[in-house]
Amino acid sequence: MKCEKCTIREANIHLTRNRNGVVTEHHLCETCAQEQGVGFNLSKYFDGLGGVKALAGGSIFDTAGGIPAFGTVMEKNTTCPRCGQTFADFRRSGLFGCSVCYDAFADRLDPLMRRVQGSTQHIGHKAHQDAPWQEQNILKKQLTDLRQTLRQAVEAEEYETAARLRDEIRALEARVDAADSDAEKGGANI
Amino acid sequence: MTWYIDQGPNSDVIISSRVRLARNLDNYPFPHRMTGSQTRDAATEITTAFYHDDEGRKSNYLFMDLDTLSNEDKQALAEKRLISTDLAGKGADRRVIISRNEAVSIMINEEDHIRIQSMQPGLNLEAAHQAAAAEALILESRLPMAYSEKYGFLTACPTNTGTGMRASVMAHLPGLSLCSRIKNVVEGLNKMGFAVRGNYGEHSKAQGHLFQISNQLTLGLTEEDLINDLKRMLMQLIEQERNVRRELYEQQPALLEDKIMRAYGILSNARMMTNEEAVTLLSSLRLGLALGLLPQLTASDVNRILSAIGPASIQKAGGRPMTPEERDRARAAVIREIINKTETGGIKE
Repeated sequence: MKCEKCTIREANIHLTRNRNGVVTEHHLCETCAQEQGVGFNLSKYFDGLGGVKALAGGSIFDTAGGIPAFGTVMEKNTTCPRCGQTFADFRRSGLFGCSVCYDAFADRLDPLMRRVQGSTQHIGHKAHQDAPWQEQNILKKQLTDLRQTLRQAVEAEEYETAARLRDEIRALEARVDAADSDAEKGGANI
Repeated sequence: MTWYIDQGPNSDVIISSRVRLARNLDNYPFPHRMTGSQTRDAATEITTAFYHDDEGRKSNYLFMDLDTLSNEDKQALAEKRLISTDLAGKGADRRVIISRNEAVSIMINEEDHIRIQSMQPGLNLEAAHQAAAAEALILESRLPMAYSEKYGFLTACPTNTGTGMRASVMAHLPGLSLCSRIKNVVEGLNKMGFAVRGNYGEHSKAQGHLFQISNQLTLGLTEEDLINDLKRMLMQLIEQERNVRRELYEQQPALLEDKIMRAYGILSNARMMTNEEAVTLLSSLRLGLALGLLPQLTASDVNRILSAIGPASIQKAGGRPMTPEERDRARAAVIREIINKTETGGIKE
């Protein structure tokens, strides 16, 4: 990542600002950071907005320029039991090795997520939800796709294909209708 | 309808909208730690789950194994933003599935196993999200997802964890750029938690006053809230840009008209043109269209030119290896053809 100020040198000073729960990040090179007085007078750079914590490093964790960074007190190097990636690898690359790394490095993740994301809890769309309505959506999506293909086939005057597609669409429509009425019945029982 | 040519809501400022969702398989390491055979197996698993022996999908979505494409072909896909330059440059077993209308593309084995992106003309993040989410739902129901109740969708980089969603727009901001307010605007947007990049993504310069603006956070907010925050900010930005354009034109009509008409003159007559010069001049042309100065052209003409003049696209259209000089000649010809045919009421697709 390049420094946001000079846009030439690599950014190795990373700043996070949390204001009313809205977290913002700034990425500067050492030279620009010093010019901005990062670590000494942060308010200069942020026009006196305040509430700024300086976190510096070659990666999001390391220490540079005498500014203490997140992670410096934790020397222990955990290894992910599944993919073998170490916490040091993660510090270097900024990338997790696999989904199990999230568990393996769990005790260090919350501070990191708070800093990068301003939150430690997902509240968006959930995976693995019970699937009947998902199945419905999938059928409906397939139906839309098939109808589009049918239009294309008719435009291209490929009538044999069109006839076949029409049959498929009818079959799928029947399934969607059946599932819809099932869902309604199910809903009435609750 | 083609998202990179057509016009949509607020397309005088916002050229296109894109929503990207990152998803990973639970049963493989993330792409940067996979072995060759794991990369291949994961790609096959995802592709099989996507098509699922479904005739509609087979005819509506093109599958491409990047290993079978030439460098020009890969770069041409990147110039159209159907794949990332990152995917184009990676090793074996990178694949992409692209919908026939080119509005949805699914990159396989990029930084994450699955990157679904959906595009719309103009400012229409909701429609883009809807289409991407529909694709994600299908894959989520058929594949073991890397997901935790606490952190949501688990991604290789912690900057994508949670929703895995990056909503972005391509904004044309010549007004704010010409009156030198753009630096403050970009700084302000950064402070508000939005990322601003050049027109070809991370690390790229903003050529032709084109800026890519996106949400930075992906965790702790719902997809809808992230999109609404971005949209609310963009509506203000659009107003600002329109006001500045109007002010500039009222204050110095001759200066602005001269700049725009010179750009038009060069574009419709030049015999050689670099990509950079073309992108810069097309920005003036687009501004002229928004100000109603070029009734013979439409923004779709400008979009059509932009989609055709990248180095790889030019080379691909030429069908043979070309020197930079030959490409500049071909580029100038493509531009003249589109501008001048429109002028005589010619091609309309």
